[in-house]
Amino acid sequence: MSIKLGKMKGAGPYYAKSLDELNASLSWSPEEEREIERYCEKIHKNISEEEMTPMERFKATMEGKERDRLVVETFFHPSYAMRTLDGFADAVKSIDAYYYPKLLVKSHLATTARYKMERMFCGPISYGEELFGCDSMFIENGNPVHEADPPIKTIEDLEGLEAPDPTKHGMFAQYLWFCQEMRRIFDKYQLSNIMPIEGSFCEGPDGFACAHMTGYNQYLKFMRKNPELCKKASNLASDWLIKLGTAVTNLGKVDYSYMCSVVGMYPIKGSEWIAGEYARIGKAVKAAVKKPILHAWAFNGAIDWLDEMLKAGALGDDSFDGVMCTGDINDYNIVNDFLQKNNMYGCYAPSDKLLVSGPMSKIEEEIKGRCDAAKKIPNNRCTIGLGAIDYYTTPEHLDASIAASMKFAKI
Amino acid sequence: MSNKAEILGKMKDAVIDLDDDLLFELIDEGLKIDVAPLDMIMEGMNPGLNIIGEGFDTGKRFMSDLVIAGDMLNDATDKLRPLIEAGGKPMGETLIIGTVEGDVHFIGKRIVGAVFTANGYNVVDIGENKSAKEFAEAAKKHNATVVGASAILSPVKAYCGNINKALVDAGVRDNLIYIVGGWAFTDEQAEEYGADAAGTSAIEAIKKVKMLKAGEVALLKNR
Repeated sequence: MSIKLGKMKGAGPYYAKSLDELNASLSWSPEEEREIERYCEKIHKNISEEEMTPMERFKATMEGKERDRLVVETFFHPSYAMRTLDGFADAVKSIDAYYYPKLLVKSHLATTARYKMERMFCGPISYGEELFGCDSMFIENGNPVHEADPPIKTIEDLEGLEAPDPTKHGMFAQYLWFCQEMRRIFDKYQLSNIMPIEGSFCEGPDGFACAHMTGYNQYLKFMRKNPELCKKASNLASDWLIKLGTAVTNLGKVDYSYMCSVVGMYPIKGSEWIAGEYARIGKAVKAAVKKPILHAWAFNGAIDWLDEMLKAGALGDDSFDGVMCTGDINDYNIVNDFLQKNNMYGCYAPSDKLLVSGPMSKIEEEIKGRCDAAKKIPNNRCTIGLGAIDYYTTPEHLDASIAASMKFAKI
Repeated sequence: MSNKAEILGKMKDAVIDLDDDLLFELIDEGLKIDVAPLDMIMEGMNPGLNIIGEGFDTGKRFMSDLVIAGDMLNDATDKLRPLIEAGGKPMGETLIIGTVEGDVHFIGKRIVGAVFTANGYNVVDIGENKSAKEFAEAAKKHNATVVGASAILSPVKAYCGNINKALVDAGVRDNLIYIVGGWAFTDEQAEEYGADAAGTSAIEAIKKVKMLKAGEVALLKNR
């Protein structure tokens, strides 16, 4: 068995360094420590404005206990965090954070402090573009992208391949360092007990196989014409996601984490087997980390998968704890009813297209609707979300959206 | 043996059912009885693709359906294009489409290309991560009447303004419709970047271009 990594063009100086090497080589200057301290002070100040701490509210939510309001979850890409860091000057780019992990830490602290966010969101900096042999490249304004076609075209191409190691392959050691360092900072400045840190182990077995192993168009065609290839590719992707999901919590030391899913992109009939892969990931990661893990859903068609996921074991106490519905899920009331009936976590986020274009009245109306849905049953495990916040979401819109969320989230 | 109307009807159904094997059998059958290749695309496949596209926009069809149907149409067009060109009848007006510099996404762009092809356009896809100059040069070379710029990564949307400027500098902007697209594009952003319209789906893109051509919506220069 072997690991076959693709080349990564334009990679930064810390690319493919192991977690141990990063820990040995990255440190903060006195000036940077002061900057970090100030961000943490501001986060403390934000938290002091309410009676319940974010951690108390989060724990109450996950345990189904009384809380003052819904947790307001905010999802943003590193590109948005860097906008906050440079004051929307369009100067510092995403690539700078992917080159220099310390910028990733500072930008996320700055964003959390600026917008009074109630958990530290450590979004992904790579989806594993090169991990199974696809040559890829860094780009200025986002996660790395493929430079060549994904390499898996036949079942034989999968022979002998093994899932990589997130502590040393690709950008994942940088990501783990980012999460770990956030924990160290939170411990140092007494934030660990009052604000949760959330990590990511995107994408799901189908999304990963689509994007980085076979290519989207090919995977979708193979689902009809060569399902065995899809199954084997997704199975290998699951091996990787189990390693990553375990590492994000056990090494990255986050309080909870999520995994993206593309179910809903294709019809459920004939594809039910993929729920089994989600179940395998959920059960393996939950057993290893014993902390909450969540699905993140983007397609409205994912709603059809609720029963299938539950039946397969991809939702439950020993697996994924629930679902974050991102903005394109319009029938979130159906999801909400299911998750509340089965006592699972649910998050309902308006479209980030709406956060960009507004107007504010429409944003507030949408947020209120989702809050009302989430609050239907007392002491449930539901939250309101914002995001993934688009690059062009103005600070004014984001401030107003967070304020509206907090207002309508009151119980 | 089926007649032309039957073959075109079956082509529509083959696209709706995502049956590429059947579609190619029907193409061969159609060619045997001299059904014009352009008719196969516009009157056979296009209605099927429209149904899928509108189904996707209304949540009744899946993204996978749109991707597969788009690829079917692109593959069918690749097969039929030499015959169309050999017949002396070009595909029609030209759409130049590409993904802007700094972005390499292409799935949506390919679907847009397929939809425009199905509507009789000669689609020239210049690829991904393309400079404004490359868009303008292609528009000039091919006498394009429509230029489409795809930008999925939000930070690169503003580059669409550079493309508009390049089209102006090349002296072609007034002769064409410039449409931008990508998942979170708004009409206000399109106008800010000098585009006539924004399309967030393939069906929306072709509809807006048709409306601009028919004068139902004013071109940016006339607003």
